[in-house]
Amino acid sequence: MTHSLHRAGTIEDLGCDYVIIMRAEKGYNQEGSAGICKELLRLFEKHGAVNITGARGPNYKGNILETTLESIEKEFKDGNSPYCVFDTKEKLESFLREMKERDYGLSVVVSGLYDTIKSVCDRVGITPHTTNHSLGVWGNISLLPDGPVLEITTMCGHGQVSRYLVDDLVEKVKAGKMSLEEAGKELGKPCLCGLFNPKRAEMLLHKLTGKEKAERVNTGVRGWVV
Amino acid sequence: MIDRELCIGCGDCLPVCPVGAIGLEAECAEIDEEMCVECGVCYRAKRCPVEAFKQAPDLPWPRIVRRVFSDPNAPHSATTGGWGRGTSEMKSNDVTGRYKRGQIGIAVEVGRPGVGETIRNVEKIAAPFARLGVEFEPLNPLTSLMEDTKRAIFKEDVKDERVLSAIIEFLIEPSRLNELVKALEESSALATDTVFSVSVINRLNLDGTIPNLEALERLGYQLSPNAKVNLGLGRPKADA
Repeated sequence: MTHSLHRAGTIEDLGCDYVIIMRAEKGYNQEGSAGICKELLRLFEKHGAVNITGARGPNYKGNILETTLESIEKEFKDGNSPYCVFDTKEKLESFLREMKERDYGLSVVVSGLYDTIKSVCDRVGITPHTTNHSLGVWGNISLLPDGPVLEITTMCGHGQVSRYLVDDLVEKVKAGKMSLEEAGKELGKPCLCGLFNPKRAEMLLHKLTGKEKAERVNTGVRGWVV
Repeated sequence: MIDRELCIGCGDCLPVCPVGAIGLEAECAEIDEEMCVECGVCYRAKRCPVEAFKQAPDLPWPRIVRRVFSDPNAPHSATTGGWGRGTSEMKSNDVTGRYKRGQIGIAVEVGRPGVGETIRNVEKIAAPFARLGVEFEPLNPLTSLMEDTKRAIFKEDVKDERVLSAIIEFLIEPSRLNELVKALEESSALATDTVFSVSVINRLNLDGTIPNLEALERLGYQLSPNAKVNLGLGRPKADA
């Protein structure tokens, strides 16, 4: 599962996008972890996450854009991983301060701009252990969607958010049938892991529905022309 | 699957499919079974006004391969027991110690973002890495589909299965970065009908710096400004 990596975008676009993954590992610290994980869901909410989830299984209804936190909590079992997204570095910092204090002993993974994460860690007193960077997209990149559409679809690392759904909702917004906020949330519903950032999607949809065509930016990372 | 008796042919379901496998035939929605990766998005989307989408609870082998590699709500029960693409990679490296200093973890996710690919073509893309003599990660469900893990040859009965994405995962020594990028370029040229996303995993140096990034940049490859960072808060500590 590398599902929070490979979120394409410029440094400016990525500045409002920080994913948290808490991990209890089978054979190490997974047994009895469901209770802590349920507590974490509430901490995500307390620190202002814009998307939350982590439960799995036949009765799982989806992330908080689709269902309630209570419903997610009910389906949470040992082996499930709590996930959330923060839309500001300030929220990330306040959450990490509390994580350090509570010292749950689960692995904490943050995905986002590395320099920002590093400076937040320095302030909080955490020393990062391992990193995973994207080396971009290889192969026939002419198959990728254009600009902001790629930025939106790559917010679900499991590929559940369809590029055609983005096109469809852009048309609905342009026709006045849906607001940008509603469309941003609608796009996040198929992302079962709840890593999709509806606030960032809203900003990207604004670019896509604007009268002026947004200029394409080559980020320098292979395949990331956004 | 779609209940043709119920479908009213409105076409509202078409945009939700990530691989564009739903079409309209004779005013009825139809799924292209070859293109379909069994991700379940159409069923879960609840866009259908007459609830014509049904999801088969169980799929026979080898069709089930599509679902476990494409639907994050279907666990890899027969292998790692994980969800999604089924590998923990660096998320719990602080407790597992899977990636150590002096090694680089590489994850090549074929089909991502949003294109998909058959296992037959995953095999072609994996071949240049097998020729490097690497060991494919045993705790990864894709490796379990291989008949010959030395040559990255997959079992014949799964080769025609199409998945949204699957991760080829291995370790390599930093001194072999040059060989690695040559293999990536070779795989890239073979990926004519798909794409793949590449991850570079590093255990941080004792002084907190990230190894190997500058070496990759010297070879002409820019890494993303965003990264996935394991903060080292897990216990028991792998390094202890």
